[in-house]
Amino acid sequence: MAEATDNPVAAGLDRGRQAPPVALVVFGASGDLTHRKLLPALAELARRHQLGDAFTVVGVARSDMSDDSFRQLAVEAAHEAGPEWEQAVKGFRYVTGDYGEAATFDRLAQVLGEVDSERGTGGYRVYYLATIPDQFGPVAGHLGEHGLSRPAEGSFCRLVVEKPFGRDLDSSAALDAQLHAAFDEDQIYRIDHYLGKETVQNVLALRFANAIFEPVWNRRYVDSVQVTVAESLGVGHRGGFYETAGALRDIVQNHVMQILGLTLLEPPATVDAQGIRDEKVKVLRAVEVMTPDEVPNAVVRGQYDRGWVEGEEVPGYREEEGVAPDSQTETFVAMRLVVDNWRWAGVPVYVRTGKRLPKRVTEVAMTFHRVPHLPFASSLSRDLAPNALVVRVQPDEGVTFCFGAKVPGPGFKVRTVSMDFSYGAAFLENPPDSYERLLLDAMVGDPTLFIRTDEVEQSWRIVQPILEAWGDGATPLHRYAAGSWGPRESHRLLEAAGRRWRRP
Amino acid sequence: MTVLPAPALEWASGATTMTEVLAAADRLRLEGDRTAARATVVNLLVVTRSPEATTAAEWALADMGGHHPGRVILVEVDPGRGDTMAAEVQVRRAEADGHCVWWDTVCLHVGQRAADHLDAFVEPLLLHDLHVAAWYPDGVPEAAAVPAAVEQLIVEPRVAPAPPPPGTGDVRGTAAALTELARHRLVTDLAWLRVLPWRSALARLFDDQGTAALLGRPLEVRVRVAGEPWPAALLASWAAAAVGAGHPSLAPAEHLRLELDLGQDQVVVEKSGDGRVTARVRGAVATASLGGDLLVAALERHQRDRAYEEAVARVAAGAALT
Repeated sequence: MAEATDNPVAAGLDRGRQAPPVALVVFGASGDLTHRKLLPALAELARRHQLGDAFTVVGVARSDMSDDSFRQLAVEAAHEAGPEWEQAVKGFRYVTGDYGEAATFDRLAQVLGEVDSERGTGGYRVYYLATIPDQFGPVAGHLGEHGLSRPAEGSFCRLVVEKPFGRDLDSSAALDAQLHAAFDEDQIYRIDHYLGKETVQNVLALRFANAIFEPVWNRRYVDSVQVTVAESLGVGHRGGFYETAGALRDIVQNHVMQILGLTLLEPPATVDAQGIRDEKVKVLRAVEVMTPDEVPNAVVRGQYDRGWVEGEEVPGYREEEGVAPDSQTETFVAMRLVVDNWRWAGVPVYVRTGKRLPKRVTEVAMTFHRVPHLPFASSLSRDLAPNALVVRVQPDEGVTFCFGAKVPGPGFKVRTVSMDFSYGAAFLENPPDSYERLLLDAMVGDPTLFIRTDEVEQSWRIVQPILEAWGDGATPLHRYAAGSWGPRESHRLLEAAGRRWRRP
Repeated sequence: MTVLPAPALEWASGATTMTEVLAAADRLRLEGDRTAARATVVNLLVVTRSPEATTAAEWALADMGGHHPGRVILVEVDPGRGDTMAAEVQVRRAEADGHCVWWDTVCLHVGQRAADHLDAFVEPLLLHDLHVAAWYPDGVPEAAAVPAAVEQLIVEPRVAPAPPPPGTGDVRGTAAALTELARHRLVTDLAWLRVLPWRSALARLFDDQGTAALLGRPLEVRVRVAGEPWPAALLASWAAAAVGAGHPSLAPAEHLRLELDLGQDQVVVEKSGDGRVTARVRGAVATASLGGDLLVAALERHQRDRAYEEAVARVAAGAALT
C-alpha cells in the first residue's frame, strides 16, 4: 500500500486520515445496526473523502438479497447519499448464507478474491460482527477455518466485535478463547460506541491539555463522582433480548466501566493505544470487588412500572412485548463503587442507569468538596452548591462548570451559576457520529478507542459478584414508576452519606 | 413597554408531542446569534389556568430572563382542551448597554389529564444543575400538584374579601395551605414581598430612639384593606407580633394602610404618592421605596423567611385577625 510519504507531491500536506483500500465484511448486513449506524457512518466518511476509491463493503446475512438489492439498501440507509457514496456503493457485494454453514464462508472467500482482483483491496480485510452475540464465536471460528483470519503478506485482517462481550466472566473468557483461536489479540477490535463520542474523548483533552484541572482531579478536592446513563425509552420490541441481559450487563459492564476508566485513570505517558488502555486497566483493577454481603447495601436494582414519560403514558416493563409477566430482570441499577488507589481513596463513585427515566442523558460529574469556610453570612449563601464539573456525553455534548457568583445588586448574596460549553454551538462542524470515528480507526489500525481483553476481564470482575448475589436472591427488585428517577431506595444509597443524586 | 417583545426565534405547533418540543428546544438553542458558552441560573416553571393569567404572566416574564437567565417553562392548563398539546418554543433576549442576555421559553398548552402528570412534561425540559422555581399566578396550588423537582414555590394567594362566598378561599384556609406547602419546599409569597416597603418604613421609623421609646406601651394594630385581604392579613399579623400588640384588626379602606394606635399617638404607614411608602408618628417620618419587579426579587430569595412563616402560622391559627 503506497504511503503518503512515497508521493513527493503529498510531502508536507496534512491530508487527514484516509482508510486504506479495504474490504469491510459486515456480518449481519441486513440487520438494524448495519442500517441505522454502520452504513450511514460509512456514507459520511465517503462524503468527507476518507474512504479510498477501492473501499468495498461485502455484506453477509441470512436474508436473501442480490448485490444490487444490497447496494440499494446501502444508498437508502445513508441520510443524504452524496455522489461519493453512490459511487462507492457500486462495488458493494453481498453473500447470502447461514453463519453456521461452511458453504457461506466458501462463497465469502470467493467474493473476497473477486473484490481484491476487481477493486484492488489487496487482501486488506476488516470483519465486522454486527450479528447477535451467539454468532460471534462461530463466525470467528469459520473465518479461521477458511484461512480468512490470517492476513496475506503486507496486508491485514481485523475483527470488530460489538458488545456484549459475554454474559458473565466465564462466558466472556470462553468467547475470548473462541476469538483467539482464529485471531491474535492485536487483530481484535472490541467496540463500545461510547468511546467514539467526541465528549468522551474530550475527557482526555480536558484533563491533560489543561494545567488547571489535573491538580484538583483527586481525593483532596473531589467529594464524589456520579455517572448517569439515563434513557427515556423502554425496551420497545427488544424485550426478548433485554430479558437475557438487564441493565447491569447492557450498560454498566461496558459503557459505564469505559467512562469511569477514562475519567479516573492516571495520566498516560502518551495518548496512544497502549498508554490509554494500560491506564484504564490499572484503574479498573483498583475498583474494589464487592463481597456478597456488601451487594445489598451498595447496589439497588429496579424495574419500571407503568407511568408517564415525556408527556406520554407508557406501559410497565412486564407489559412490554417479549417480557415475562413475572420478569425479574432489572431495568435500573444504582451502585456505589470504591476505587482503592492513591488518587481516589475515600471518594465514592456513584453509578446509575435505567430505562424509562424522565429524560435521555449521559453524563459524568465530579462534585468537589465544599469550601472549608464561607466568609459570607450564612443567610447570603445558604443555597450555594458545591463546585461541579460535568461532562455531558449526550445529548447536547459539552462541559458544564458550576460555581458561585455574586447576585448583581447592592447587597452581597452568592448563588450558583452554571457555565455551559456546548459543542454544538461552539463550532460549525458537527461532532462526528461515534461510528464514523470508530470505523475509520478500525480501518486505519488505531485501537486506542477499542477495548482490550484485559479491560473486558476487569469489567466482568467488578460486575460478576453482583450478578452472583442477585442470583442468590440477596437483592430485592424495587419497582419504580416510569418517568421517575428510579426507586426510592436508590436515593437512600446517597442520602446515607449526606449526598444526593444530581438532577442531570 | 406597551407591546410584548417578540421572541428572537420561535417554533410553534398546534398539535405536538414532548419529543418534538424537546427537539425544537435543542435546535433553537443552537440557532441565531448564540455563543457557545452561556450562563444560566434558574429554571422557572409557570402554571396558569386561564388565557388572562397566561398573558399577565408573559408580561411579567418579559424582562425576567435578563435578570435570571435560564429556561422558563410556561404551562397553560385548559381543562376543556383534551389530550392534544400545543406548544411554542422561544428564544428571547434582553438588551442593556449594548450587550444581550438570552434565555429560553417553552410554552405548553395542555388539558387536565396532562396537568395531573405535570412531572412528565416538566422534568425533561429542566436545565441541569439549576435551581427550580415554580410560580402559580392563579393562586395557591395543591401540594400534590407541584412537580417533584420544584425547590421553590412562588405564590400570590387570591383571597376574596370577607365574608367569602361559598367555594372561594379564605384567609385562614389560605394560610393553612401555605403552611402545608412550606413543609416540603421553600415558599416565596409575592404578597409578602409586596408589603415589604410597609415593613421597611415602619422599621426605619423605630430606628430613631425617640420613636422607639413609644414601643412598649399597650398597642393596637389595625390594617385597613383595599382589594386583596391576604397582603393585609400578612402585614397585620407581622406588625402585631413585631410590636408586641394583641390581635390586629382589618377594616376596609381605599388603599393599604397600617395603623398602630399608641393611645395618644398613632403610627400610620401608607403609600405617599411619590412612589414611596411613608411611616409617620409625632412628626417623625421614615420612608421606603416601593419594590421593583416582584418576580425578579422572588427568584433571589433562596432561603426560608422565618418572619413570613410565623406570620402565616398566626393567620392559620386564627389568632391574627379580628
